[in-house]
Amino acid sequence: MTTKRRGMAFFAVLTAGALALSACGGDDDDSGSGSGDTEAPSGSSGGPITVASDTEFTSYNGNSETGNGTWNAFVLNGVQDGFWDYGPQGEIVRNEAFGTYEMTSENPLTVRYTFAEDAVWSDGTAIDCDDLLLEWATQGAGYETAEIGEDGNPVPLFRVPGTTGYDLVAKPTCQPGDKEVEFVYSEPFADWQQVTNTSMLPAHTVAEQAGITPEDLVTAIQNDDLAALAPVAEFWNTGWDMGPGALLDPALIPSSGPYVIDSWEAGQSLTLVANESYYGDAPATDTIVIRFIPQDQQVQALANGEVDVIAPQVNVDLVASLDALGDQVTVIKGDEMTWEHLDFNQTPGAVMADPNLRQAFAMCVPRQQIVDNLIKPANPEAVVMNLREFFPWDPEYDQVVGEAYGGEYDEPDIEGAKALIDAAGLAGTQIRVLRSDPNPRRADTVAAIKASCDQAGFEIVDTPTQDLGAGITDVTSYEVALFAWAGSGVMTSGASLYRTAEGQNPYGYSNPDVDAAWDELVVTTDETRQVELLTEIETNLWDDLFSIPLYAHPGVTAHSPNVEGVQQNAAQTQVSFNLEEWARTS
Amino acid sequence: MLVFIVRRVIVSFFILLAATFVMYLLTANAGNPLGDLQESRAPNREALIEARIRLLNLDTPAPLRYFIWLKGAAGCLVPFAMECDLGQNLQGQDVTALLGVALPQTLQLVIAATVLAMVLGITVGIVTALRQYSSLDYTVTFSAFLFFSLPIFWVAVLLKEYGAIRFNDWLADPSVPIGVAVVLGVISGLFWMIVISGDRTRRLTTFAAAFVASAGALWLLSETRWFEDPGLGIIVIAVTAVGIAFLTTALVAGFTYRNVLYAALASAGIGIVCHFALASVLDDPSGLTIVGLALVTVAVGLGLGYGLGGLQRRQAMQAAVLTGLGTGALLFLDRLLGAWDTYSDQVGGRVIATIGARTPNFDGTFWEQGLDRATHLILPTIAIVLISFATYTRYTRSSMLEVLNQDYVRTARSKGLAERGVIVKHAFRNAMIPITTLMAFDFAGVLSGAVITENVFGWTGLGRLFADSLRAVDPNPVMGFFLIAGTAAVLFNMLADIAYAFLDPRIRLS
Repeated sequence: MTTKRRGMAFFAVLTAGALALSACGGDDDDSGSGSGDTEAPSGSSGGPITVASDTEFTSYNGNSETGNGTWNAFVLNGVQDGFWDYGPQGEIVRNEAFGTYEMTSENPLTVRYTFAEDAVWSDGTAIDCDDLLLEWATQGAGYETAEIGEDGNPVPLFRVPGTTGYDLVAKPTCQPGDKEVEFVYSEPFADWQQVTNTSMLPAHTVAEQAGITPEDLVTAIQNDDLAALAPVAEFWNTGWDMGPGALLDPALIPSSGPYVIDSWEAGQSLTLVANESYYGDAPATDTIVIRFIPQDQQVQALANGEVDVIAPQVNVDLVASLDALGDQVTVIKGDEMTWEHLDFNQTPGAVMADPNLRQAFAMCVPRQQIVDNLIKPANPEAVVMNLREFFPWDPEYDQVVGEAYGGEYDEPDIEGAKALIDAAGLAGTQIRVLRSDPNPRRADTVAAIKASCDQAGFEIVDTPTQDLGAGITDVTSYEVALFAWAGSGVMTSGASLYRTAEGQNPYGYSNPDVDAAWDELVVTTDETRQVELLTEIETNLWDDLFSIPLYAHPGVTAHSPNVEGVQQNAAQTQVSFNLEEWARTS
Repeated sequence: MLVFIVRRVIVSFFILLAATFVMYLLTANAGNPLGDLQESRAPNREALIEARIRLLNLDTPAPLRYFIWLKGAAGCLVPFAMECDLGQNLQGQDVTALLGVALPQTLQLVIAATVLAMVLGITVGIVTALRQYSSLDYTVTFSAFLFFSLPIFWVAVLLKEYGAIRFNDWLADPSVPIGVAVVLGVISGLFWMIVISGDRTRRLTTFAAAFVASAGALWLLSETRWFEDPGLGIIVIAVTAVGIAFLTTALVAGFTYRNVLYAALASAGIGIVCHFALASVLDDPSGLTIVGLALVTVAVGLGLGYGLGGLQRRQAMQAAVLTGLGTGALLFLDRLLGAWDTYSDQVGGRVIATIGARTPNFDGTFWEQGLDRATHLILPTIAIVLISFATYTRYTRSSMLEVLNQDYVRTARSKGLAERGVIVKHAFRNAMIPITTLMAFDFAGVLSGAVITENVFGWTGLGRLFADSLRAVDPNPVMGFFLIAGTAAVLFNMLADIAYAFLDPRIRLS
């Protein structure tokens, strides 16, 4: 064994010695490696900006059934333009560089779209009526194949996720290459501005892939020539979908926005470079790199300088870890257009069918306390939401709240609630509050409600479910449902929530006034009248206590202090909505 | 033997078939595939739900849906005759394409780590077995259990915080304060004291020597700004290469006959000469050049061993090849470190990465690219090695101890065989038999990815594909993943059984 020990000792000294000797080695190796140096990447505008997205890109066609998703919108925000887009607070922002539109007649509702003269795709082809006509063909024409689907209806030719609004538009008439076209509606439509897609697709590429000329494509649509359109639809439906990293030929994915897709490394990153034939203002930064990073890893990647911009979903830990980074990062706290609310199950025979009990419940819910304890740590500016169809930052909000809601449920009134419950003789009634699971914030919300409402005489029962969708449909499983709606920015989408027997109103709520107001709103294009009708709806919803709105979800965006122009975006359009404005300051 | 193998293949096939069925049902019932849409208020909500029902055949009961999947998957069994259709994910991408991207990522991430864990674990396991109940044994046992019980997501996050973020901050102005050097010196001294053991004087001298050497080296490195532009330098390479020559000789032959040592030393010498001779070739080689050089090294080593080995020709060839490869690895490392300063400039001083497999759009010399890969691999590799290290040390240790107590080892000793021969030839080989099973399991595990590690370090490998798809209740990618992981598990188990039968004749007889 002694020899072994000596051997070990020898190696011990050897390692230590090697370490010591290596001190001399540090400066003799620069001659060799210097020869192949590459310059540090530095564009005219201060190097690339890197932004984190949590899901990989899958399709250039964000308007198709499979391509419709935030992960594609994240990239396409910089690549495809349209007549309008959502602003950071869900408002409509017109894109004048792309083209203009105006309502030329109210009856029949007619909208004239004019493409900018200099608007071109990155391959030089003009952006014109062909492209809009193709969009109408996919969403407004209602083309069907001869095939019958499993649901017994014919399979649509173009597989689109929705046709709302477009199905009211008559076939636009235009010649190939026209820069002007009119949409004529069969009936007035409130959200007429949001009918065209925010990202228009290139008709000439589709035509080429279908083996026809763009003129033939226009003719085929004008003549409803389904045989000619079949190959068009085939390419449109799936031809733009890509496997990871398998970026299509650049000729197939032209750009109408400030950036073109340059390269894509599967699972790692996608690179956008400035579109040289862009007709609008040139983007502030030449290269944007989108890195695919899971949400919970984005903060550390930002801290290590591997990304410059992140916008992960908020939780308290995340905000704390961002705050802990101090001035290494700039944190923007704000809101999301997703709002939390308590819905009452008012089906006949249900406990909450009694308006007095609904009132008692509304009186005991500590709304301000919930916002203070659960939301303010993430968003110090957070307020209790008092409306369902407007967000607190909407310009109409204060005026509508003033008319629709009297402030009676701002602070809990335990005594008042107790009196109502006792009057109904229902002290000790079990109230099951349905919520999704796992969701710590909702668990805490129910706990806060229980602490307050149990004092008034209810017995709140936390009812977590993993399948919220099925849970809500099963109206025997709860008295109150706690969940959130993701606001879409589309005004008429609320119709299916509050009208009698609508798909998203399983609660048995029915109020003829509300029904009538919605029916009118859907076909109202006058903005003042729209607000009036919504005020009427909100007033009724408060009077009937259809539901109790709680708060808008907090949102957070963080970026390196060396980057400017990044904004918190409340809409569902992702942090990349204004990436052409991002610039490096150092 | 053939009957044995055929029987195993058939049984394995049915096991896999049953497993896919169970897995499919579990995935299909793992959650609500429409959950995200049901909370949406988009105007096209109904159409989206309708579309997803159509895409996933949700109106067909899950057990029947399995057969739709099986029909496509059956094509994969007959590679060229039929189309291999594993279906599409929710975004309409082919699962085969997804797997094609995920599999190489996983292999890159996990193979190096697994091999490293095996080599380290087995080495340490043997050493601790030879030094049973020494303080080294206790220390290794303690740390093995400590590492084994650490939650990997936590280790990974800590590694990112200290190994990457703080380390990169430190690199901006790399100096080791004298206090830190002293503390690290003490740790190094304690470490070597435990490893070497012996009587009190011996321990104290070891401690003092290691302390002075380590603390001094750190201080020196800091003073000469070595960390800003690290490298090994010819002296370190030379000394280490000679050390490797001695080590390999000790392992394969011992020092009784000098021929082997001479061959190994000659091999090391040629390697050192190559440091200068190949300077221009190594400035910006291709991967192929490196492989070619490795092959030349092996050939030269074989030649040296053959020429100088004399009676110990076989051992001399082994020692020369191993020494040559070791020296080559040193040269490689030196060049890699040589690219450090230019690489550091290119990534803005953030050398160690927390996320991903590469810096996006990174372009540079072979060495800079290599360094880029290495700096992305280092943290996940450490995380995986820490966790799987424990299994290997413990298994090897107990297996080795068992063998050392066997009669044939005692017989070998009593015949007067040198201790080296007893351990390397008689004990080690037999101790490795149970370890092969463990290795087979581990390689099967490799193919199923490291779900958590991949997630934390942002690698889009198989584990991540599985986790993401399961969260979205997207059965096709999950099944694609399971097909690979399940096949690997079944296959490697079978291979382990067969290997066992080869290694241990007793198995075949029963």
